[in-house]
Amino acid sequence: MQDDRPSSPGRRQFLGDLAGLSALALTGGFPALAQAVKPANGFMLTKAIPSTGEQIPVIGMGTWITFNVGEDRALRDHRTEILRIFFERGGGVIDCSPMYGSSADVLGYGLKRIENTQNLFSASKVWTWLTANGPDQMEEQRRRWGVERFDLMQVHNLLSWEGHLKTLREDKEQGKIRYLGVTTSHGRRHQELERIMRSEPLDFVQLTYNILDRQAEDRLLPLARERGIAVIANRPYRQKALFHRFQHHPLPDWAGEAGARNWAEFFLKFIVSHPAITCAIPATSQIPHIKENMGALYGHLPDQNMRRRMIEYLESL
Amino acid sequence: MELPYTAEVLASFVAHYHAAIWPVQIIAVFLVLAALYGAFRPNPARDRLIGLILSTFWVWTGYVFYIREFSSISFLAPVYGGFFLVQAALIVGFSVIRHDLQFRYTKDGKGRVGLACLVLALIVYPLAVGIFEEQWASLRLVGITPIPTVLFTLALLLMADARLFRKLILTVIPLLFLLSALITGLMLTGSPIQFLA
Repeated sequence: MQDDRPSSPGRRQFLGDLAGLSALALTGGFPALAQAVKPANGFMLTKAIPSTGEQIPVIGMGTWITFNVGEDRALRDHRTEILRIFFERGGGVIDCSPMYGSSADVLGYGLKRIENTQNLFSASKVWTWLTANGPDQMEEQRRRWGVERFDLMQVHNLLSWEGHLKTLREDKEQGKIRYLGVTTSHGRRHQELERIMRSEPLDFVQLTYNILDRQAEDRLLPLARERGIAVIANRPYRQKALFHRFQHHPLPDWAGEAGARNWAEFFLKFIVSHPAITCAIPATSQIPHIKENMGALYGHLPDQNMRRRMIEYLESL
Repeated sequence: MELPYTAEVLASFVAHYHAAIWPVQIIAVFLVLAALYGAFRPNPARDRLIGLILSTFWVWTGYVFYIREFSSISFLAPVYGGFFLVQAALIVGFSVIRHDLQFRYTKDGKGRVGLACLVLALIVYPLAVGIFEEQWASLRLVGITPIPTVLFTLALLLMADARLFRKLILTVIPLLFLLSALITGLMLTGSPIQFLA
C-alpha cells in the first residue's frame, strides 16, 4: 500500500504552511484558529484542553464496533497494526467504553505490543445505571486497557450522570483520572447536556458534530468555549454515511485551500477547524482509512469563509 | 440503532464458541435425535422428556451462549439470555410439570409445517449460513446456538397437541426473537440470509 504522506514535511511544505498561516492572519481568517491551534512539532495540528492548556492532537480514534473483534487473533493483530499506524502518525486520543464489547480488551492487546505509545491520551467511559457499580466498572476498563490510569473518564450518554460525576470528581482529586467529562451522541439530549455544562465543572464534553450534523453550533459549542470545556466530536462521518453519500463526487477544485486532499480530510478538517472543537475521533478498521484519517492531523485548517464554502459545496451535490 | 459488532466478528465469535464448548456439540446432537425420536414415535412418557430436552437447549443457549459468552461482544446479550431462560421456564412449566404438550408428528397441515421448520432448523439454515460465511467452524447447531434452537422448538410446538392458548404463550418469545434476528441479519449484511446466531 502506497504511503501518500511524507514521513516528515520538507522545507517547501513548511514555508507553504507558514505563508498560509500568515495569509490567514492578514485576511482576518486567523482569529478562529489563533487561540486554539498551536502546531506542535511545527506541523502537527493540536489544540489546547482549556482547563489546563495541555495540547492534544486534533485527530484521535474511536473504537465503537471497529475494535470489538473478540478473541480472534488475526483480527486483533490487524487492529494492533491500525494502532501502530495511529501512533506512528501522531495520534493520541483513543476513546472507548464498556458498551463497546471487547474493544477495551483488544486495545489492551494492541497497546502491549506497540512500543511507541507515549502519546496515548486514554479516554474511557462509565456506563452503568447504578452509581455504586461505577468504580468497579472503571477499574475493569483500566485493567483491560492495561494503563495505570485514564487521562479522561466520561459519563457515557449521560447515564446516571449525577452520581457518576460525583465519583469522577473524587477520582480526579485523588489523581486516579486527569480529566472528567460527559458524552452524548446522535444529537440526542442536547438540552440536558447544556444544563449540565452550565451547572457542573467539566473538562470535556463529547457530542456528535460533523459537516452535516451541526446542531451543536447553535448553543453547545459556544457554551463550551464560554465555559472552557474541551469538545470531542464523535460520529465525524455519520458512521460512513458521509462517504456513501459524497465519495463518488469529485472533491472541489479548491479542496487544497481547505487543507484537504481526500474526502476524509475534507470531513475531518471541517470539524476540527471549529474553534470550539478540540478533537475528532473517527473510527476505522481499515489500514488505508487510518492513514487517510491521520492525514487530517497535518497541514492547515479552513477558516470561517472556507468552512461556509465547504458546506455550500456539499449542499449543492 | 447500530450493532456493536460486524458479521465477520459474529462468525469468528461462533467459531471460537464451538472450540470453547467442545464436545458439547455431540451431546446436543444426541439430544436432538432423542427429541425427534420422541416426536415421531409418540409416547406420553416421552412428552416430558422432549420438554426437558427443549428446556435444556434454551437454558444452555440463554446462559452459556448469550450471558456467559456473547456478552463479551454485545451489551444486548444478557437481555436475550434472560428471555431464553424465561422460555426455558415456560417449557418446563407447561411440558414437564403440567404435561400440557403431547409431541407427535401427524400427516396434516400443522405436521407438514412443523416438518418444514425442522428441515429449516437442522439443514437449510446451518447450510445457508455456512455458505454465506464461507466457513463451517461457525456452524449453527440446534441446542447450542439461538436461531436453530428457536426454529427447532417452533417445529415441535407446531406438531404438538395442546390447548391453543398454551401453545401461543410458548410461541411468543420464539417469534419475537425471530423478528429480532431478521432485523439483526439485515443490519449486519443487508441480506435476509445472515441472521443473528
